Amino acid sequence: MDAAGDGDGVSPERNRDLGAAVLDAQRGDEAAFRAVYRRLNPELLRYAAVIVGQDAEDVVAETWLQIARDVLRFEGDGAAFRRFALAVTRNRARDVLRRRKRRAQEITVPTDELPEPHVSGVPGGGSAPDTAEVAGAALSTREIVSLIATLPGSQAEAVLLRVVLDLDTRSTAEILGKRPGAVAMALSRGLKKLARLVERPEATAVRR
Amino acid sequence: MRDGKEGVRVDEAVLRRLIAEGSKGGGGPRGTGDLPSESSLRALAAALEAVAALPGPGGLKGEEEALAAFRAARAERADAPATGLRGRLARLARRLGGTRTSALGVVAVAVLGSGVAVASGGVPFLPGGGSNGTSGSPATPGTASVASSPGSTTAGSGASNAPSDDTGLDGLRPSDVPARIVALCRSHQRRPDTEPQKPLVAAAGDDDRVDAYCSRVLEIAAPDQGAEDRKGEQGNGSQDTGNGNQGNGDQGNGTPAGPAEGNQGSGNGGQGNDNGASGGNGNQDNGNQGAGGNGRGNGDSGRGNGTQGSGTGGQGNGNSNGNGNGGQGNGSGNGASGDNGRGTGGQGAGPDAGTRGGGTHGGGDRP
Repeated sequence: MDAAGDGDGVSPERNRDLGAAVLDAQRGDEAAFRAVYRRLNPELLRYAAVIVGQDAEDVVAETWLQIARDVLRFEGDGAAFRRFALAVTRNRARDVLRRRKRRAQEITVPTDELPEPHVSGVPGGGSAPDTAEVAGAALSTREIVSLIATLPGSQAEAVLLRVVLDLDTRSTAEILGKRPGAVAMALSRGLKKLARLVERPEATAVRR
Repeated sequence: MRDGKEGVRVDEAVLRRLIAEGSKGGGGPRGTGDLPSESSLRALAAALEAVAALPGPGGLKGEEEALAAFRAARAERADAPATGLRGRLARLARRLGGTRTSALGVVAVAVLGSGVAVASGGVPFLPGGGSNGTSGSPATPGTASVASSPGSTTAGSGASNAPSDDTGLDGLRPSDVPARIVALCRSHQRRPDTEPQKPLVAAAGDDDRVDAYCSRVLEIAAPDQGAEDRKGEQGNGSQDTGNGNQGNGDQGNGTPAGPAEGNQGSGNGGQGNDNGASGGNGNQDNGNQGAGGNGRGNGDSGRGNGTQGSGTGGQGNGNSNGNGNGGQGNGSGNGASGDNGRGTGGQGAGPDAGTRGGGTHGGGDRP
Protein backbone atom coordinates (compact mmCIF):
# COMPACT_ATOMS: atom_id res chain seq x y z
CA MET A 1 0.00 0.00 0.00
CA ASP A 2 1.26 3.36 -0.76
CA ALA A 3 0.63 6.82 0.47
CA ALA A 4 -1.56 7.71 -2.45
CA GLY A 5 -3.95 5.04 -1.40
CA ASP A 6 -4.45 3.68 -4.84
CA GLY A 7 -3.11 0.26 -4.11
CA ASP A 8 -5.76 -1.06 -1.83
CA GLY A 9 -8.37 -1.58 -4.42
CA VAL A 10 -10.57 1.16 -3.14
CA SER A 11 -10.75 3.98 -5.54
CA PRO A 12 -8.29 6.75 -4.81
CA GLU A 13 -11.16 9.18 -4.59
CA ARG A 14 -12.73 7.25 -1.77
CA ASN A 15 -9.52 7.17 0.15
CA ARG A 16 -8.96 10.81 -0.48
CA ASP A 17 -12.43 11.48 0.81
CA LEU A 18 -11.65 9.40 3.83
CA GLY A 19 -8.41 11.26 4.38
CA ALA A 20 -10.18 14.58 4.13
CA ALA A 21 -12.86 13.43 6.52
CA VAL A 22 -10.22 12.31 8.98
CA LEU A 23 -8.56 15.70 8.80
CA ASP A 24 -11.85 17.46 9.37
CA ALA A 25 -12.65 15.18 12.25
CA GLN A 26 -9.32 16.05 13.78
CA ARG A 27 -10.41 19.63 13.75
CA GLY A 28 -13.42 18.60 15.71
CA ASP A 29 -15.92 18.26 12.93
CA GLU A 30 -18.57 15.83 14.05
CA ALA A 31 -20.14 15.40 10.66
CA ALA A 32 -16.75 14.44 9.31
CA PHE A 33 -16.36 11.81 11.97
CA ARG A 34 -19.76 10.50 11.10
CA ALA A 35 -18.67 10.24 7.51
CA VAL A 36 -15.59 8.32 8.57
CA TYR A 37 -17.80 6.00 10.55
CA ARG A 38 -20.17 5.35 7.70
CA ARG A 39 -17.37 4.81 5.30
CA LEU A 40 -15.52 2.26 7.39
CA ASN A 41 -18.07 0.62 9.62
CA PRO A 42 -19.37 -1.91 7.09
CA GLU A 43 -16.00 -3.36 6.38
CA LEU A 44 -14.97 -3.33 9.99
CA LEU A 45 -18.08 -5.33 10.75
CA ARG A 46 -17.30 -7.83 8.05
CA TYR A 47 -13.76 -8.19 9.15
CA ALA A 48 -14.76 -8.64 12.76
CA ALA A 49 -17.40 -11.16 11.75
CA VAL A 50 -14.81 -13.27 10.01
CA ILE A 51 -12.69 -13.32 13.14
CA VAL A 52 -15.19 -13.49 15.96
CA GLY A 53 -18.49 -14.29 14.36
CA GLN A 54 -21.44 -13.24 16.41
CA ASP A 55 -19.52 -10.82 18.58
CA ALA A 56 -18.63 -8.68 15.62
CA GLU A 57 -20.84 -5.82 16.65
CA ASP A 58 -19.36 -5.66 20.11
CA VAL A 59 -15.90 -5.77 18.68
CA VAL A 60 -16.61 -2.98 16.27
CA ALA A 61 -18.21 -0.89 18.98
CA GLU A 62 -15.04 -1.20 21.00
CA THR A 63 -13.05 -0.45 17.93
CA TRP A 64 -14.88 2.81 17.41
CA LEU A 65 -14.35 3.86 20.96
CA GLN A 66 -10.66 3.59 20.36
CA ILE A 67 -10.79 5.20 16.95
CA ALA A 68 -12.77 8.11 18.35
CA ARG A 69 -9.90 8.85 20.67
CA ASP A 70 -7.07 8.12 18.32
CA VAL A 71 -8.39 9.89 15.29
CA LEU A 72 -7.46 13.16 16.90
CA ARG A 73 -3.81 12.24 16.86
CA PHE A 74 -3.70 10.24 13.73
CA GLU A 75 -1.13 11.14 11.17
CA GLY A 76 -1.50 9.73 7.74
CA ASP A 77 -3.72 9.62 4.73
CA GLY A 78 -7.06 7.99 4.20
CA ALA A 79 -5.66 4.65 3.12
CA ALA A 80 -3.43 4.56 6.16
CA PHE A 81 -6.37 5.38 8.36
CA ARG A 82 -8.33 2.54 6.85
CA ARG A 83 -5.50 0.16 7.60
CA PHE A 84 -5.30 1.51 11.07
CA ALA A 85 -9.02 1.04 11.66
CA LEU A 86 -8.83 -2.52 10.39
CA ALA A 87 -5.87 -3.22 12.60
CA VAL A 88 -7.71 -1.89 15.62
CA THR A 89 -10.63 -4.10 14.71
CA ARG A 90 -8.33 -7.05 14.47
CA ASN A 91 -6.80 -6.46 17.84
CA ARG A 92 -10.13 -5.96 19.54
CA ALA A 93 -11.42 -9.08 17.86
CA ARG A 94 -8.44 -11.02 19.03
CA ASP A 95 -9.05 -9.75 22.50
CA VAL A 96 -12.45 -11.32 22.29
CA LEU A 97 -10.97 -14.51 20.97
CA ARG A 98 -8.59 -14.65 23.84
CA ARG A 99 -11.39 -14.03 26.22
CA ARG A 100 -13.47 -16.76 24.79
CA LYS A 101 -10.60 -19.10 24.28
CA ARG A 102 -12.53 -20.61 21.54
CA ARG A 103 -11.69 -20.80 17.96
CA ALA A 104 -13.26 -18.35 15.59
CA GLN A 105 -14.49 -20.94 13.20
CA GLU A 106 -16.74 -22.46 15.82
CA ILE A 107 -18.66 -19.27 16.02
CA THR A 108 -21.48 -18.37 13.77
CA VAL A 109 -21.66 -15.05 12.08
CA PRO A 110 -24.21 -12.47 13.14
CA THR A 111 -26.22 -13.40 10.14
CA ASP A 112 -29.16 -11.19 10.92
CA GLU A 113 -26.99 -8.14 10.76
CA LEU A 114 -25.78 -8.64 7.26
CA PRO A 115 -28.19 -7.60 4.57
CA GLU A 116 -28.82 -9.76 1.61
CA PRO A 117 -26.87 -8.94 -1.48
CA HIS A 118 -28.51 -6.63 -3.90
CA VAL A 119 -27.28 -8.42 -6.88
CA SER A 120 -28.66 -5.98 -9.36
CA GLY A 121 -26.75 -3.19 -7.66
CA VAL A 122 -23.40 -4.88 -7.91
CA PRO A 123 -21.15 -2.89 -10.19
CA GLY A 124 -19.99 -5.07 -13.00
CA GLY A 125 -21.69 -7.95 -11.35
CA GLY A 126 -24.25 -8.65 -13.99
CA SER A 127 -23.06 -12.17 -14.35
CA ALA A 128 -23.11 -12.88 -10.64
CA PRO A 129 -26.50 -14.55 -10.40
CA ASP A 130 -25.79 -16.66 -13.41
CA THR A 131 -22.54 -18.02 -12.17
CA ALA A 132 -23.99 -18.66 -8.79
CA GLU A 133 -26.81 -20.57 -10.34
CA VAL A 134 -24.41 -22.48 -12.47
CA ALA A 135 -22.68 -23.63 -9.36
CA GLY A 136 -25.97 -24.43 -7.79
CA ALA A 137 -25.03 -22.31 -4.84
CA ALA A 138 -26.95 -19.12 -4.44
CA LEU A 139 -25.03 -18.14 -1.39
CA SER A 140 -26.20 -15.21 0.58
CA THR A 141 -23.85 -12.64 1.95
CA ARG A 142 -24.07 -13.98 5.41
CA GLU A 143 -23.45 -17.45 4.19
CA ILE A 144 -20.36 -16.34 2.38
CA VAL A 145 -19.07 -14.49 5.40
CA SER A 146 -19.68 -17.47 7.61
CA LEU A 147 -18.14 -19.64 4.98
CA ILE A 148 -15.00 -17.54 5.09
CA ALA A 149 -15.11 -17.69 8.84
CA THR A 150 -14.86 -21.45 8.70
CA LEU A 151 -11.35 -21.14 7.34
CA PRO A 152 -8.41 -21.20 9.70
CA GLY A 153 -7.78 -17.76 11.12
CA SER A 154 -5.08 -16.40 8.92
CA GLN A 155 -6.66 -17.77 5.77
CA ALA A 156 -10.01 -16.28 6.61
CA GLU A 157 -8.51 -12.92 7.35
CA ALA A 158 -6.39 -12.98 4.24
CA VAL A 159 -9.38 -13.75 2.06
CA LEU A 160 -11.49 -11.07 3.63
CA LEU A 161 -8.90 -8.34 3.57
CA ARG A 162 -7.32 -9.18 0.29
CA VAL A 163 -10.35 -10.18 -1.74
CA VAL A 164 -13.51 -8.90 -0.10
CA LEU A 165 -12.11 -5.61 1.13
CA ASP A 166 -9.71 -5.51 -1.78
CA LEU A 167 -6.64 -4.42 0.05
CA ASP A 168 -3.39 -5.17 -1.67
CA THR A 169 -1.09 -7.84 -0.39
CA ARG A 170 1.23 -5.45 1.34
CA SER A 171 -1.54 -3.74 3.27
CA THR A 172 -3.00 -7.08 4.19
CA ALA A 173 0.37 -8.27 5.37
CA GLU A 174 0.79 -5.13 7.40
CA ILE A 175 -2.52 -5.55 9.15
CA LEU A 176 -1.95 -9.21 9.80
CA GLY A 177 1.61 -8.68 10.90
CA LYS A 178 2.87 -11.24 8.43
CA ARG A 179 5.20 -11.23 5.52
CA PRO A 180 3.57 -10.76 2.12
CA GLY A 181 4.66 -14.22 1.08
CA ALA A 182 2.89 -15.76 4.02
CA VAL A 183 -0.22 -13.78 3.23
CA ALA A 184 -0.18 -14.95 -0.36
CA MET A 185 0.12 -18.52 0.75
CA ALA A 186 -2.67 -18.27 3.29
CA LEU A 187 -4.81 -16.58 0.69
CA SER A 188 -4.16 -19.26 -1.86
CA ARG A 189 -5.07 -22.03 0.50
CA GLY A 190 -8.08 -20.22 1.76
CA LEU A 191 -9.42 -19.58 -1.69
CA LYS A 192 -8.95 -23.17 -2.72
CA LYS A 193 -10.84 -24.38 0.30
CA LEU A 194 -13.56 -21.87 -0.26
CA ALA A 195 -13.96 -22.87 -3.86
CA ARG A 196 -14.47 -26.44 -2.80
CA LEU A 197 -16.94 -25.43 -0.17
CA VAL A 198 -18.87 -23.39 -2.66
CA GLU A 199 -19.02 -26.38 -4.87
CA ARG A 200 -20.58 -28.33 -2.05
CA PRO A 201 -22.33 -25.71 0.06
CA GLU A 202 -24.07 -28.35 2.12
CA ALA A 203 -20.71 -28.96 3.73
CA THR A 204 -20.85 -25.55 5.25
CA ALA A 205 -24.18 -26.14 6.88
CA VAL A 206 -22.62 -28.80 9.02
CA ARG A 207 -19.86 -26.57 10.15
CA ARG A 208 -22.09 -23.73 10.98
CA MET B 1 3.17 -6.19 -4.39
CA ARG B 2 1.31 -3.66 -6.34
CA ASP B 3 0.88 -4.55 -9.87
CA GLY B 4 -1.75 -2.07 -10.83
CA LYS B 5 -4.38 -4.71 -11.30
CA GLU B 6 -5.31 -5.18 -7.73
CA GLY B 7 -8.04 -2.67 -7.95
CA VAL B 8 -10.13 -4.79 -10.23
CA ARG B 9 -13.14 -6.53 -8.86
CA VAL B 10 -13.18 -10.12 -7.94
CA ASP B 11 -13.55 -12.52 -10.78
CA GLU B 12 -12.54 -15.98 -11.64
CA ALA B 13 -9.25 -14.93 -13.17
CA VAL B 14 -8.31 -12.91 -10.13
CA LEU B 15 -8.95 -15.83 -7.87
CA ARG B 16 -6.97 -18.10 -10.08
CA ARG B 17 -4.06 -15.72 -10.05
CA LEU B 18 -4.20 -15.28 -6.30
CA ILE B 19 -4.26 -19.00 -5.77
CA ALA B 20 -1.35 -19.48 -8.12
CA GLU B 21 0.70 -16.75 -6.45
CA GLY B 22 0.33 -18.29 -3.07
CA SER B 23 1.06 -21.73 -4.36
CA LYS B 24 4.27 -20.60 -5.96
CA GLY B 25 5.31 -19.10 -2.71
CA GLY B 26 4.67 -22.38 -0.99
CA GLY B 27 7.10 -24.09 -3.28
CA GLY B 28 6.93 -26.66 -6.01
CA PRO B 29 4.53 -29.50 -6.05
CA ARG B 30 1.36 -27.91 -4.93
CA GLY B 31 -0.22 -25.83 -7.61
CA THR B 32 -2.16 -26.61 -10.65
CA GLY B 33 -2.86 -30.11 -9.54
CA ASP B 34 -5.29 -29.20 -6.82
CA LEU B 35 -6.68 -26.10 -8.42
CA PRO B 36 -10.41 -25.83 -7.87
CA SER B 37 -12.74 -26.33 -10.74
CA GLU B 38 -13.69 -23.58 -13.08
CA SER B 39 -17.28 -23.50 -11.94
CA SER B 40 -16.46 -23.39 -8.27
CA LEU B 41 -14.12 -20.50 -8.83
CA ARG B 42 -16.81 -18.69 -10.73
CA ALA B 43 -19.30 -19.26 -7.97
CA LEU B 44 -16.85 -18.16 -5.35
CA ALA B 45 -15.94 -15.07 -7.29
CA ALA B 46 -19.57 -14.15 -7.61
CA ALA B 47 -20.22 -14.64 -3.96
CA LEU B 48 -17.17 -12.70 -2.86
CA GLU B 49 -17.95 -9.98 -5.30
CA ALA B 50 -21.44 -9.67 -3.93
CA VAL B 51 -20.20 -9.44 -0.38
CA ALA B 52 -17.60 -6.89 -1.30
CA ALA B 53 -20.07 -4.68 -3.07
CA LEU B 54 -22.59 -4.62 -0.33
CA PRO B 55 -23.37 -1.55 1.56
CA GLY B 56 -22.78 -2.86 4.99
CA PRO B 57 -25.12 -2.74 7.86
CA GLY B 58 -25.12 0.55 9.56
CA GLY B 59 -26.41 0.27 13.05
CA LEU B 60 -27.59 3.66 14.16
CA LYS B 61 -26.91 2.81 17.75
CA GLY B 62 -23.28 2.09 17.05
CA GLU B 63 -22.96 5.30 15.14
CA GLU B 64 -24.30 7.39 17.97
CA GLU B 65 -22.08 5.65 20.46
CA ALA B 66 -19.07 6.27 18.29
CA LEU B 67 -19.99 9.91 17.96
CA ALA B 68 -20.44 10.25 21.67
CA ALA B 69 -17.00 8.80 22.16
CA PHE B 70 -15.66 11.22 19.61
CA ARG B 71 -17.23 14.16 21.39
CA ALA B 72 -15.82 13.00 24.68
CA ALA B 73 -12.35 12.64 23.23
CA ARG B 74 -12.64 16.06 21.67
CA ALA B 75 -13.66 17.63 24.93
CA GLU B 76 -10.90 15.84 26.72
CA ARG B 77 -8.38 17.17 24.31
CA ALA B 78 -9.71 20.66 24.75
CA ASP B 79 -9.37 20.37 28.49
CA ALA B 80 -6.07 18.66 28.52
CA PRO B 81 -3.10 20.77 29.35
CA ALA B 82 -0.84 21.49 26.50
CA THR B 83 1.89 19.01 26.12
CA GLY B 84 5.36 19.54 24.97
CA LEU B 85 7.76 22.26 25.79
CA ARG B 86 5.24 25.02 25.65
CA GLY B 87 2.95 23.31 28.05
CA ARG B 88 5.77 22.59 30.37
CA LEU B 89 6.89 26.16 30.33
CA ALA B 90 3.38 27.35 30.91
CA ARG B 91 3.05 25.11 33.91
CA LEU B 92 6.38 26.21 35.21
CA ALA B 93 5.39 29.80 34.80
CA ARG B 94 2.20 29.16 36.71
CA ARG B 95 4.17 27.62 39.46
CA LEU B 96 6.65 30.38 39.59
CA GLY B 97 3.90 32.88 39.90
CA GLY B 98 2.09 30.77 42.36
CA THR B 99 2.42 29.47 45.78
CA ARG B 100 5.62 27.60 45.55
CA THR B 101 7.96 30.33 44.68
CA SER B 102 9.49 30.53 48.04
CA ALA B 103 9.95 26.83 48.06
CA LEU B 104 11.92 27.20 44.91
CA GLY B 105 13.95 29.80 46.63
CA VAL B 106 14.75 27.45 49.41
CA VAL B 107 15.69 24.83 46.93
CA ALA B 108 17.99 27.29 45.34
CA VAL B 109 19.59 28.06 48.63
CA ALA B 110 20.11 24.45 49.43
CA VAL B 111 21.33 23.49 46.04
CA LEU B 112 23.66 26.40 45.87
CA GLY B 113 24.63 25.98 49.43
CA SER B 114 28.19 25.24 48.63
CA GLY B 115 28.77 28.88 48.18
CA VAL B 116 28.09 29.43 44.58
CA ALA B 117 27.16 32.99 44.17
CA VAL B 118 23.92 33.70 42.53
CA ALA B 119 23.71 36.47 40.07
CA SER B 120 22.29 39.53 41.66
CA GLY B 121 19.59 39.61 39.11
CA GLY B 122 18.19 36.36 40.37
CA VAL B 123 14.67 35.69 41.34
CA PRO B 124 13.79 37.65 44.40
CA PHE B 125 12.94 35.55 47.29
CA LEU B 126 9.73 37.23 48.11
CA PRO B 127 7.60 37.90 45.14
CA GLY B 128 5.04 40.56 45.62
CA GLY B 129 5.15 40.69 49.34
CA GLY B 130 2.15 39.14 50.97
CA SER B 131 0.18 38.43 47.90
CA ASN B 132 0.66 34.78 48.38
CA GLY B 133 -1.24 33.78 51.36
CA THR B 134 -0.73 30.11 51.00
CA SER B 135 1.78 27.70 52.15
CA GLY B 136 4.79 28.90 50.36
CA SER B 137 4.47 32.44 51.36
CA PRO B 138 6.77 33.70 53.96
CA ALA B 139 4.82 36.84 54.54
CA THR B 140 3.81 36.83 58.10
CA PRO B 141 1.98 39.40 60.07
CA GLY B 142 3.82 40.98 62.88
CA THR B 143 7.04 41.46 61.14
CA ALA B 144 9.82 41.67 63.56
CA SER B 145 12.06 44.55 62.96
CA VAL B 146 15.18 43.04 64.17
CA ALA B 147 17.92 45.49 64.18
CA SER B 148 19.56 45.31 60.93
CA SER B 149 21.85 48.23 60.94
CA PRO B 150 25.48 47.74 61.49
CA GLY B 151 26.63 47.85 65.00
CA SER B 152 23.44 46.98 66.66
CA THR B 153 23.25 44.02 68.87
CA THR B 154 21.22 41.15 67.77
CA ALA B 155 18.78 39.07 69.58
CA GLY B 156 19.44 35.44 69.97
CA SER B 157 16.30 34.49 68.29
CA GLY B 158 16.30 33.88 64.68
CA ALA B 159 12.72 33.01 64.56
CA SER B 160 11.37 36.31 63.56
CA ASN B 161 9.74 36.25 60.25
CA ALA B 162 10.26 39.19 58.09
CA PRO B 163 9.64 39.83 54.53
CA SER B 164 12.39 41.39 52.63
CA ASP B 165 12.03 44.91 53.69
CA ASP B 166 15.43 45.81 52.63
CA THR B 167 17.01 47.89 55.23
CA GLY B 168 20.56 47.97 56.18
CA LEU B 169 22.04 45.30 54.03
CA ASP B 170 20.29 46.20 50.92
CA GLY B 171 19.45 43.61 48.45
CA LEU B 172 20.42 40.70 50.57
CA ARG B 173 18.53 37.71 49.37
CA PRO B 174 18.45 34.23 50.66
CA SER B 175 19.71 33.10 47.36
CA ASP B 176 22.78 35.13 48.05
CA VAL B 177 23.41 33.34 51.26
CA PRO B 178 24.95 29.95 51.22
CA ALA B 179 23.60 27.52 53.71
CA ARG B 180 26.97 27.35 55.34
CA ILE B 181 26.85 31.02 56.07
CA VAL B 182 23.45 30.62 57.61
CA ALA B 183 24.81 27.89 59.81
CA LEU B 184 27.80 29.98 60.77
CA CYS B 185 25.52 32.83 61.66
CA ARG B 186 23.51 30.65 63.93
CA SER B 187 26.60 29.41 65.54
CA HIS B 188 27.88 32.92 65.90
CA GLN B 189 24.70 34.15 67.46
CA ARG B 190 24.75 31.46 70.01
CA ARG B 191 28.24 32.44 70.99
CA PRO B 192 28.48 36.06 70.11
CA ASP B 193 31.57 36.55 72.17
CA THR B 194 33.69 34.28 70.13
CA GLU B 195 35.55 35.30 67.09
CA PRO B 196 33.39 34.97 64.02
CA GLN B 197 34.60 32.54 61.50
CA LYS B 198 36.50 33.83 58.57
CA PRO B 199 33.99 32.95 55.91
CA LEU B 200 31.40 34.78 57.88
CA VAL B 201 33.52 37.82 58.14
CA ALA B 202 34.19 37.64 54.50
CA ALA B 203 30.52 37.35 53.75
CA ALA B 204 29.61 40.21 56.02
CA GLY B 205 32.41 42.27 54.62
CA ASP B 206 33.77 43.35 57.89
CA ASP B 207 34.28 42.08 61.38
CA ASP B 208 31.99 44.71 62.80
CA ARG B 209 29.24 43.95 60.46
CA VAL B 210 28.97 40.28 61.24
CA ASP B 211 26.27 40.68 63.83
CA ALA B 212 24.09 42.80 61.68
CA TYR B 213 24.73 40.64 58.73
CA CYS B 214 23.81 37.54 60.63
CA SER B 215 20.65 38.95 62.00
CA ARG B 216 19.65 39.90 58.54
CA VAL B 217 20.57 36.52 57.20
CA LEU B 218 18.63 34.71 59.82
CA GLU B 219 15.77 37.04 59.36
CA ILE B 220 15.34 36.09 55.79
CA ALA B 221 16.13 32.49 56.32
CA ALA B 222 13.50 32.19 58.97
CA PRO B 223 10.35 32.56 56.95
CA ASP B 224 10.66 29.05 55.73
CA GLN B 225 9.86 27.92 59.13
CA GLY B 226 6.62 29.71 58.89
CA ALA B 227 5.92 27.94 55.73
CA GLU B 228 6.62 24.70 57.36
CA ASP B 229 4.34 25.43 60.21
CA ARG B 230 1.56 26.28 57.93
CA LYS B 231 2.06 23.07 56.20
CA GLY B 232 1.49 21.37 59.45
CA GLU B 233 4.57 19.37 59.07
CA GLN B 234 6.83 18.58 61.82
CA GLY B 235 8.96 21.14 63.32
CA ASN B 236 8.00 22.80 66.49
CA GLY B 237 9.09 26.17 65.57
CA SER B 238 11.66 26.64 68.18
CA GLN B 239 14.30 28.98 67.20
CA ASP B 240 16.78 27.99 64.68
CA THR B 241 14.98 24.91 63.84
CA GLY B 242 14.69 23.70 60.42
CA ASN B 243 12.88 25.09 57.59
CA GLY B 244 10.93 22.87 55.43
CA ASN B 245 9.23 23.69 52.34
CA GLN B 246 7.11 22.10 49.93
CA GLY B 247 8.83 20.61 47.02
CA ASN B 248 7.91 21.20 43.55
CA GLY B 249 6.73 18.53 41.29
CA ASP B 250 6.80 19.18 37.69
CA GLN B 251 4.28 17.41 35.73
CA GLY B 252 5.47 14.89 33.33
CA ASN B 253 4.76 15.30 29.78
CA GLY B 254 3.62 12.70 27.45
CA THR B 255 4.41 13.23 23.91
CA PRO B 256 1.56 12.39 21.68
CA ALA B 257 2.23 10.31 18.73
CA GLY B 258 0.14 9.30 15.87
CA PRO B 259 -1.99 6.34 16.63
CA ALA B 260 -0.18 4.47 13.99
CA GLU B 261 2.89 4.83 16.01
CA GLY B 262 1.79 4.98 19.52
CA ASN B 263 -0.66 6.43 21.81
CA GLN B 264 0.04 9.20 24.02
CA GLY B 265 2.01 8.43 27.03
CA SER B 266 1.17 10.39 30.02
CA GLY B 267 3.37 10.94 32.90
CA ASN B 268 2.44 12.52 36.07
CA GLY B 269 5.31 14.07 37.72
CA GLY B 270 5.47 13.63 41.32
CA GLN B 271 5.42 16.06 44.00
CA GLY B 272 8.37 16.43 46.11
CA ASN B 273 7.57 16.81 49.68
CA ASP B 274 10.03 17.88 52.10
CA ASN B 275 9.91 17.84 55.73
CA GLY B 276 12.22 20.44 56.83
CA ALA B 277 14.65 19.88 59.50
CA SER B 278 12.64 18.85 62.33
CA GLY B 279 12.39 20.81 65.42
CA GLY B 280 10.88 17.80 66.94
CA ASN B 281 13.59 17.48 69.41
CA GLY B 282 13.67 21.10 70.10
CA ASN B 283 17.35 21.28 69.82
CA GLN B 284 18.62 24.63 68.91
CA ASP B 285 21.27 23.21 66.74
CA ASN B 286 18.89 21.43 64.67
CA GLY B 287 18.47 21.92 61.19
CA ASN B 288 19.21 24.36 58.62
CA GLN B 289 17.12 24.36 55.69
CA GLY B 290 15.32 21.45 54.32
CA ALA B 291 15.06 21.90 50.73
CA GLY B 292 12.00 20.88 48.94
CA GLY B 293 12.28 18.06 46.61
CA ASN B 294 11.83 18.61 43.03
CA GLY B 295 9.60 15.98 41.70
CA ARG B 296 9.70 15.58 38.06
CA GLY B 297 8.04 13.01 35.97
CA ASN B 298 8.41 12.43 32.38
CA GLY B 299 6.04 10.13 30.74
CA ASP B 300 7.30 9.36 27.37
CA SER B 301 4.98 8.34 24.77
CA GLY B 302 4.47 4.86 23.82
CA ARG B 303 5.69 4.93 20.35
CA GLY B 304 6.15 2.47 17.67
CA ASN B 305 6.70 -0.75 19.37
CA GLY B 306 5.42 0.66 22.53
CA THR B 307 8.34 1.99 24.32
CA GLN B 308 8.40 2.90 27.85
CA GLY B 309 6.62 5.62 29.48
CA SER B 310 8.90 6.67 32.16
CA GLY B 311 8.45 8.95 34.99
CA THR B 312 11.19 9.81 37.26
CA GLY B 313 10.55 10.92 40.69
CA GLY B 314 12.09 13.96 42.01
CA GLN B 315 14.95 14.54 44.19
CA GLY B 316 14.73 15.92 47.53
CA ASN B 317 17.65 17.84 48.75
CA GLY B 318 17.84 18.69 52.27
CA ASN B 319 20.60 20.06 54.31
CA SER B 320 20.94 19.10 57.82
CA ASN B 321 17.84 17.43 58.99
CA GLY B 322 15.81 18.19 56.00
CA ASN B 323 14.05 15.23 54.74
CA GLY B 324 13.44 15.34 51.09
CA ASN B 325 10.85 13.08 49.86
CA GLY B 326 11.19 12.48 46.25
CA GLY B 327 7.98 12.61 44.53
CA GLN B 328 6.12 10.10 42.78
CA GLY B 329 6.43 9.76 39.11
CA ASN B 330 3.68 8.24 37.25
CA GLY B 331 4.26 7.42 33.70
CA SER B 332 1.86 5.65 31.63
CA GLY B 333 2.47 4.93 28.09
CA ASN B 334 0.01 3.49 25.77
CA GLY B 335 1.84 1.89 23.03
CA ALA B 336 -0.63 1.99 20.30
CA SER B 337 1.39 -0.01 18.02
CA GLY B 338 1.26 -3.64 17.82
CA ASP B 339 0.01 -6.06 20.30
CA ASN B 340 3.24 -5.65 22.02
CA GLY B 341 2.70 -2.04 22.77
CA ARG B 342 3.62 -1.48 26.27
CA GLY B 343 3.97 1.56 28.30
CA THR B 344 5.61 0.97 31.51
CA GLY B 345 5.22 3.04 34.50
CA GLY B 346 7.71 5.48 35.57
CA GLN B 347 9.56 5.35 38.72
CA GLY B 348 9.64 7.89 41.30
CA ALA B 349 12.79 8.04 43.23
CA GLY B 350 13.62 10.26 46.00
CA PRO B 351 16.55 10.12 48.26
CA ASP B 352 14.51 9.37 51.26
CA ALA B 353 11.24 8.11 50.25
CA GLY B 354 10.64 7.85 46.61
CA THR B 355 7.65 5.93 45.68
CA ARG B 356 7.21 4.04 42.58
CA GLY B 357 4.95 5.39 40.03
CA GLY B 358 2.47 3.11 38.56
CA GLY B 359 2.24 2.72 34.91
CA THR B 360 -0.33 1.19 32.80
CA HIS B 361 0.23 -1.12 30.04
CA GLY B 362 -1.10 -0.12 26.79
CA GLY B 363 -2.14 -2.54 24.23
CA GLY B 364 -1.82 -1.16 20.85
CA ASP B 365 -2.75 -1.53 17.34
CA ARG B 366 -0.42 -1.49 14.53
CA PRO B 367 -2.10 -0.77 11.29
